[in-house]
Amino acid sequence: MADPQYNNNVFINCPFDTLYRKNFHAIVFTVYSCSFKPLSALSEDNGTDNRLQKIQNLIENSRYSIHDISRTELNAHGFPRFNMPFEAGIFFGAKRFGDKDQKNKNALIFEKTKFSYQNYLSDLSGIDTKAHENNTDIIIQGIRDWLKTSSRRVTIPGHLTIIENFQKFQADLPAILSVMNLEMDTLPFNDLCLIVEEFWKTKMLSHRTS
Amino acid sequence: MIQVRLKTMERKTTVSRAEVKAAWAKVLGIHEDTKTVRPAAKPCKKTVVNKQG
Repeated sequence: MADPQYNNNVFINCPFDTLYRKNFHAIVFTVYSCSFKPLSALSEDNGTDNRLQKIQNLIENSRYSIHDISRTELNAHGFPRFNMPFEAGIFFGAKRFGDKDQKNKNALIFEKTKFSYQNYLSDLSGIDTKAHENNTDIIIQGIRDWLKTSSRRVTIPGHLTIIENFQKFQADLPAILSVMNLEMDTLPFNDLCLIVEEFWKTKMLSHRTS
Repeated sequence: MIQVRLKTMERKTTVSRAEVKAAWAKVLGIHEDTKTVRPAAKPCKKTVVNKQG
């Protein structure tokens, strides 16, 4: 096994643009709330690795993965965005051809509306995708339920608890960034993770001592 | 009562954990000192010695 944290790592394969930002924050927040560790292509900062190699390493080190293929659409130049389906394909390949640990891989595939993938990725037929309707509540419940059933961990909180705390997190995030002189548009992934970690630590600490 | 078994991870960040912790404490209105510092230990009972005795 490449990474001792393999069973806790969740590779996130989704868009990183501003239109998707709230969904992305919901994914990272939920993964942490379920006691897993989010990994993303944005988490590595090694200029000597090429992007594909970096993604392959992250996939190899992650038992779980979340793929949002809802944005496989034409960009401003009229070309489709294939990165998400391509990375999902690498994950499926690792599960199919990898060693014993790799064969335990488990993926959640999000799309915007149910079965829309059949128009552009019909090879996924038979795969149970989840439609999130661009709604963070649905995203949170989808991830929470999937991690709960696939990991069988009993320590994962209910989705309503996560949704309630995510709303508080989202409401306070601008103030946090302001205090630290950071900007939402340029917030690095690793900083976001640290902010989520400390949110939960502060919340639990305040509950224990109040 | 919130029970999250948080799995933290050391990452290459542009801000320190202490800065983020302080920022949350400020925004949530939590006084860090009163929440994180353990209560002082009770002073030991000193044996009173009667020097004259």
